[in-house]
Amino acid sequence: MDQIFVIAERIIIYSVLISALYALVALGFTMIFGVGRVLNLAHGAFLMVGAYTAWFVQQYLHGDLYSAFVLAVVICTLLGVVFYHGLVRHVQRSPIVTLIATLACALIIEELIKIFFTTNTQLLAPFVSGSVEIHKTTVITNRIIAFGASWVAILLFWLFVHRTRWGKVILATAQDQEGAALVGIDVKRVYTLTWAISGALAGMAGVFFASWVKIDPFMWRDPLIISFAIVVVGGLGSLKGSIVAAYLIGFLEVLMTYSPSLRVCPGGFRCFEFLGSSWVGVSSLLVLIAILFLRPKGLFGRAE
Amino acid sequence: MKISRRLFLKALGVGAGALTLGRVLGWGQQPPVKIGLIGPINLLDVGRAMVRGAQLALEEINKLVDDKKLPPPKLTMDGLIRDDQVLRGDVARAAFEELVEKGAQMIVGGFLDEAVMGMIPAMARLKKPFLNTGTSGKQFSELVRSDYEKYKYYFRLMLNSEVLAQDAVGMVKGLMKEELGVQKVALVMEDSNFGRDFLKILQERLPSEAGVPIAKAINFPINNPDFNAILQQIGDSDADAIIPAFAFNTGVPFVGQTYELKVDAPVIGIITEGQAFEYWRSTGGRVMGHAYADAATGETPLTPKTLPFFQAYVERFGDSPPSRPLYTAFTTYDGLFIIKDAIDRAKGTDADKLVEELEKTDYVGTVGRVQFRDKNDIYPHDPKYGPEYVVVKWVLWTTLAKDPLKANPQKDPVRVVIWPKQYRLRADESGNPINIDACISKAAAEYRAAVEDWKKKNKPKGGRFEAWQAFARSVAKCFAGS
Repeated sequence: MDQIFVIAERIIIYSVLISALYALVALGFTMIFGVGRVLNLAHGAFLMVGAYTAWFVQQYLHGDLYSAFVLAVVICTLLGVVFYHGLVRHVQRSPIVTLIATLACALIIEELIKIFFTTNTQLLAPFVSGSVEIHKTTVITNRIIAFGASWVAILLFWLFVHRTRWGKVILATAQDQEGAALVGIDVKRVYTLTWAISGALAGMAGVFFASWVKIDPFMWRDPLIISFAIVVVGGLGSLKGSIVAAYLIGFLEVLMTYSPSLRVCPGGFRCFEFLGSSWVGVSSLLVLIAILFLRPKGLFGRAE
Repeated sequence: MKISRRLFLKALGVGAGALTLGRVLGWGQQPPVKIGLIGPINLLDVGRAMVRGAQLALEEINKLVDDKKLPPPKLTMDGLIRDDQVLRGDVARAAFEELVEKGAQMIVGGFLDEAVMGMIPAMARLKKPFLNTGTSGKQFSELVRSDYEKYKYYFRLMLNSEVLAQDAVGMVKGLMKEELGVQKVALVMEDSNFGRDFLKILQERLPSEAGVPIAKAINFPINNPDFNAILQQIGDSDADAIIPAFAFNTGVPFVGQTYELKVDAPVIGIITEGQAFEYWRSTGGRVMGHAYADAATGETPLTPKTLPFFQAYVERFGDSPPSRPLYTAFTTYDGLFIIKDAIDRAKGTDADKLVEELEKTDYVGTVGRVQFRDKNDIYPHDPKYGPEYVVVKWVLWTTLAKDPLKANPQKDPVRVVIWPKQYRLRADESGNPINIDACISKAAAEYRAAVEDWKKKNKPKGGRFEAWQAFARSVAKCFAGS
């Protein structure tokens, strides 16, 4: 019985930690869709640029992760603005073209990283080394820092959107772009601001994500899939929905790590496993499909 | 018939001219034999190492032919190197077909079973010998056994997963149990053909043959980068050591997380990317104390050919990753010499004759003495395994630097063979082997005593981790001769 409580404790602690990071990962993606109706498939690549910037500062400029973090956020903020003005602004009228263009950019960034930094997997040195004991659960200290910083970023973002003038301008634009333009809001400036914020959030998430696990030129795919699943499950453009969905998906993933697997060998030819750790990545996609069938607008989404 | 002086001189002149012209135009010379190479040459260091090993071998072989120390023909790979995109069996098969169409008489390479599986039907259909220098799946040699006439063109220089696992069982018994005092182990295996094979064999044999029970066995998905929960479960299992088996690139986060969590169980197993010299930099020195299976390390004089090859490689490619030879560089280098030998003995490139001659191979290469197993063996055309042939070397990452995280990744890390005992060697200034078995055995005894002490103190967290780090430092000192 004790063992069950210990496992339950670990599932809760690990899922609380990872879900905060997932929420941060999805935040910029949600905002860009909510305000500009753009599905930015290069969002994961933005994270990767943040991660590689931090790694470059550590490896070649011998900076600590704090200075690397600041530079990653600055670079990704600029990247967001350049990306909007250089590409998205010109194609956003066509959702299909936007999807293809942003995906192509992600692949180009992947190729550039392969050329400049090889395909080798790298480790980003943590903010703080070591681990801590939380009751009967051992947690890497860096993850607690990433958890805390993710929540600070999420709360600051929420305060900005709901308590500042510019935040309200963004909300107004998200609700009705033409109406916002009619009352004198400069919609292009709002878009520029949202892309800058989205880039900054991606930069932060990229550094945390990399220091959580690893860096390689393929690391953009998982955050993108997670962002996509979170945004669809939470409701397109809903901040509250994104956070709830991040926790739902994070919890399911950790649960899969601990769940026993069911092995089936049809005809004795090849065995397949159901549930268990092999299903960690699949679980979020299954939730996504289920939500698309049962509640297409997502948990907290507005009907279009 | 009377030959006039004038006619004789004319004939002589024409003959000499024809000979000179013929030499210039290449008449009478054998054209070089075309050899193809297929591997993950663009995406992975193991693929790049393959190409570099091949390049050095071809240059040496062709120079020996020029110097008349080997008979013609020369070998060439010009325009015959293809990427298999790591896992893509269809891409590998298309590459095989294309290379044969371009005139390749033999193919070398292969890194993952999934890609090699794609090449096998093409090999059988086109009847062109294929020398696998990188994968360990035993299904290929089983094909040779099941239908010799069809699959006899398949040879391999790598030990198969069954033999790797069997060697691991021997290592667990000899090194872990008898020298280090390990009583139970945890297995962390990736969910791939290789990982599944390895897990199955170890689960069957470790308890019965090595007398070491398995405290925890985990099969994780290949794209999993988070090992916190897994390592926590291993900690709960009270395992004395961890045996990983990773062929994909998930080793770096595993290494980082074992270091951050100060897991109280040494890691001795297979992490393919951990054989690269750049791994120290990739993990920021956190790989200190990990020991991985390998075919060879450059610094250890396994045979008289190991160090010269290592030095030639570093001199030529030391500035770009992989800056030290990976196992595929050693096997591909040896493979081309074996191929050249077989071509010379077969006096041509007839595939069936080449197979006959390859079967008679007896070659001391950089990784050991290579003879292929007999066609009636359980694993035909795999290399013979044993102390006098090829064995797995279990290589420890270590450094003399006080803090591994601050060590210079280009200068400080060293890799030392800690098992089997016969290869506990270092080289003197002339490259001659010096035995360091006694020194490493002493370090192992000290580790064992430190662990006993740690157990008496009720196993404080990180205690055995520190004891193992101390063992690794002692081994570095043995290797430095200090």
